Amino acid sequence: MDRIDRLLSRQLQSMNRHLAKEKKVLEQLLKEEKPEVILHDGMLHFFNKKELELIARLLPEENHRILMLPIYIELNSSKFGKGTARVCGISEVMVISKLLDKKAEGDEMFIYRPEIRIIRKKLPTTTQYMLTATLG
Amino acid sequence: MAELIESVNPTRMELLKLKTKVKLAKKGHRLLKEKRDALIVEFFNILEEARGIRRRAERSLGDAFIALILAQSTLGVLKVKEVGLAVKETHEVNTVTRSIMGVRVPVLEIENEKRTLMERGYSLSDTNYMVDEAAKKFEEALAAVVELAEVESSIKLLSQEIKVTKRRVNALENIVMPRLDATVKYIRMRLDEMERENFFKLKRIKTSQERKEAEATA
Repeated sequence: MDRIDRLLSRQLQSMNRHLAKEKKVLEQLLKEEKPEVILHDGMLHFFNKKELELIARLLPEENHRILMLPIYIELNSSKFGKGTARVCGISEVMVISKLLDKKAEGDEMFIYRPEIRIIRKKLPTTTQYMLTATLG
Repeated sequence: MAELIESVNPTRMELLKLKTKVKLAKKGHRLLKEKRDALIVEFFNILEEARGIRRRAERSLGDAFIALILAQSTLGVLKVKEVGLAVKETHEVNTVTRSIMGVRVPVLEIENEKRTLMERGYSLSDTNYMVDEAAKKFEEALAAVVELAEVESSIKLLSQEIKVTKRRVNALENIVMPRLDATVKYIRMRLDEMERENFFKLKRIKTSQERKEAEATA
């Protein structure tokens, strides 16, 4: 890793301090009275219960133990292009595709700015932006 | 032409350092632009939400005050005031936060939003239906006002963050990057110039040496 990459990764770390230190599975969050996760900056992030219930309705019961929340919307304009984001994970893709009513298979899905807006509107606390960059 | 970075030595080492900085600035600029765009998307989402909520809050407050006036007209202003003093203040607002790209926005939740007649605390025998209606309408208005407070403070916090990010993007775009580019160009020009000078010097030395050799042989 050269100097630029080191500096850039440090910058990315500070820009992504709003991400969860440890994600939690949907099943566990549904049981909690005040569903929350600890963020990298040490603060607590609370999930809206209605959103969790909506996600639980969209997913089959067995996926409740797999889906890790919050769902990350990955932004990397140099890799995916401007205004494009990626969602990774089989259950995550399932939730997003059902919300957008869009066909998707596998563990990766690309969404575009108007779709990001819809997702963030429907799931403001259970999704988070993640900034990434291509090193090297 | 953009300004040059002050006290920079036109050396190859400096050129390499500056090239690294240009590369880093470009990547950082792209990242910040992404952050700004995402914040703007969030801002407009909340703004759209706020319009409806403000209208709803204004309407429910209007309805509540009409209900209060009606109650005052049937029971009298003093009696309604007396009833008001007897009401238990049990509404609690829970404040939690959620993070939007590092911006902590509040999430306000009102506990025990709608109370029953008995929970309100005033005497039912001394009052009438109008008072109950006014109390109910004010409870509804309170919920709408809390919702409005959440959304409006989110807008305020997000707009501040957008402003800061925009300023950083603009500083990189209009000051830092052009300055770095101009300095790189200047160093390149200086190095080329130095190379030409050296070449010319060598050529002159060679000619003078040749001349001296020719004179010596002659």
